[in-house]
Amino acid sequence: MSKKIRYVPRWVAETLVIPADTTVIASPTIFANTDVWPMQLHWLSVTGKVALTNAEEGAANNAGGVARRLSWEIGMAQKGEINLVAGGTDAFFASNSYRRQSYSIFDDGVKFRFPSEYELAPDSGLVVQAASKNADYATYNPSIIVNGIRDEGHGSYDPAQLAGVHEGTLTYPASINMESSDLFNSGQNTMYLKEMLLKPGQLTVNPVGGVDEATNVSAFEPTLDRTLWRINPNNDIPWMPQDELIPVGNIAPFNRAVRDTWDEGPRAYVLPTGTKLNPRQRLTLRITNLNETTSPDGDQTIVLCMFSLLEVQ
Amino acid sequence: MGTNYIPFAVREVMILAANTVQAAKITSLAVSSRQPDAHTIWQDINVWEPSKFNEYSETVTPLGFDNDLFMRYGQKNRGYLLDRPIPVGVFASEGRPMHPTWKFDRPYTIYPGEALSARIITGGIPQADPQGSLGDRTSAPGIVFNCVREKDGQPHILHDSIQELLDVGLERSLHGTFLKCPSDSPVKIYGVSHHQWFNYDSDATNTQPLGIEIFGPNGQSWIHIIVDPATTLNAQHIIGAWIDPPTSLIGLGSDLGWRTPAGSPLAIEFENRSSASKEFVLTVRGFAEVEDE
Repeated sequence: MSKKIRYVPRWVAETLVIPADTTVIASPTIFANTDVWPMQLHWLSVTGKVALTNAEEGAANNAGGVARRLSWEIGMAQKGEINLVAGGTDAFFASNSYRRQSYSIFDDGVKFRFPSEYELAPDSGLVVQAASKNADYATYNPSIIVNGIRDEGHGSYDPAQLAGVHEGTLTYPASINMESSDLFNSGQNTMYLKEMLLKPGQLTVNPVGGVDEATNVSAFEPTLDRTLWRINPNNDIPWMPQDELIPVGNIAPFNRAVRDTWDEGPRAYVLPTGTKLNPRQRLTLRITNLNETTSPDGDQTIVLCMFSLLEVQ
Repeated sequence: MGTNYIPFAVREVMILAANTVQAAKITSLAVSSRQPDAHTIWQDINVWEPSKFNEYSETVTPLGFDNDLFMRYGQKNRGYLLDRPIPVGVFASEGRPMHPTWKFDRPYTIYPGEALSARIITGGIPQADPQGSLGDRTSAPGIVFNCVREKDGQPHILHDSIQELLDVGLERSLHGTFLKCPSDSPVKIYGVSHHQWFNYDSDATNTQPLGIEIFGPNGQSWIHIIVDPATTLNAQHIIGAWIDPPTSLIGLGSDLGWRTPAGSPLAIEFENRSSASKEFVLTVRGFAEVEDE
């Protein structure tokens, strides 16, 4: 009898500084399958901050763009060079996105669709932390919504929703824990999670003074590389096992940035369907910064994130 | 003949006094059916504060949604999905569309001999003296339904337009030949759009949406309205901006469990935490799932 497979999402990320004209290898211990179940690889996402002119400073910096002059080689570790595929950031990491009406993302935040619905057991919930790494701004009311359905028995499923709102201001470098009562699947029935909306909150405080943000703007700003989250079930295999929080643009890369004319939002490389890491296998990621500008001006800091589904039996 | 999905938009124009909680009137969100075991598919919710005109520009006043208008929703008699209301903007999950188009979650089929009709109230900015470059305010409104012919899968369009330039606020009916189902095949309608699409940002105070009402073959309107008697909104607001939602949407859909028994209405509760009253328009769109007789 074959056992039922449960798909558990898994995000792992690493912050890398790639000096100008230098090659860096991502930590093999992070982009590895350290569990006992096969790991179905879905995508690699990358966010960062491109060097912008003064005129472009401001909100564009929050978009999480990455320099194009990065060259990538990706492959399974210990399989030899032949296995590596190489390409530039533009070629590899398309800015894979749903395009939306200008500014509507202010309200939408960032949406993540679970590739396979996640089974949240009865009487268990999510533990959600959020943080800002934006020293320039504070946000009010960061929030998370999780939509799904709940098994009501007799083959009937009702809509179900989990939510967390921090009713206060999130300021760098503080991090907060969402109140858990509304993030809990109370009762006796399994809930199946379908999508997650992550909103950094309304940008309300501008302690430094920016270009456009000089007035207090009441908008849900995505700040794709400046708001960070860590979301885990309270009694299941962790989704984000690392201590570090992960930028929202890396968690859900298929959302375009606000200022898409000025910058590129997070980029994602979707791995070929069926790509798997077996237990103890790992990915090799070799990234070369082709920027010839002398370090540190030509350096590029990125957050690289791997999303996969653990096939838990 | 199979299952059909009749599109509907239920709308309530609400005025919420300062620091009060109020549920939308359940009757406005009920879709009944004479058939046993009939279902309703809910597509999305839209909450729109016309006084804001959704200025998606960051230099002006507050954008999109107020931070002090809270809500929660669920099925009547099954409780709200959340234990407490949270800000409306938190729920928004779908960007407002790039075009004034409502794409149907499920196709609506009309049959030979049937026809649709519509009435429109021209929108725009009613100024006697248009500001220089913005030009003439009159326009020629129309409507288009994107369809597929059942017999051969070929695209088909049902359409009508007014061949004259109309001032803002003028009303016309659309019931031309091209809104009739062709005689040789039923057509499945996958979406509806109109071309009058206003950028509220350009004149936040004065812009009025295109008022539009669509009538099915039996004369039943697709939009069902309950209006607070104290409303300050005009006819364009009351029947406008439901094909072309002016703000982001809260997605429902059968994927998230929003295919419910027809007798089980949606319940939506709002809380106004502001010290001023709020006037806003709630629109819920969906489909009544029926068996064709």
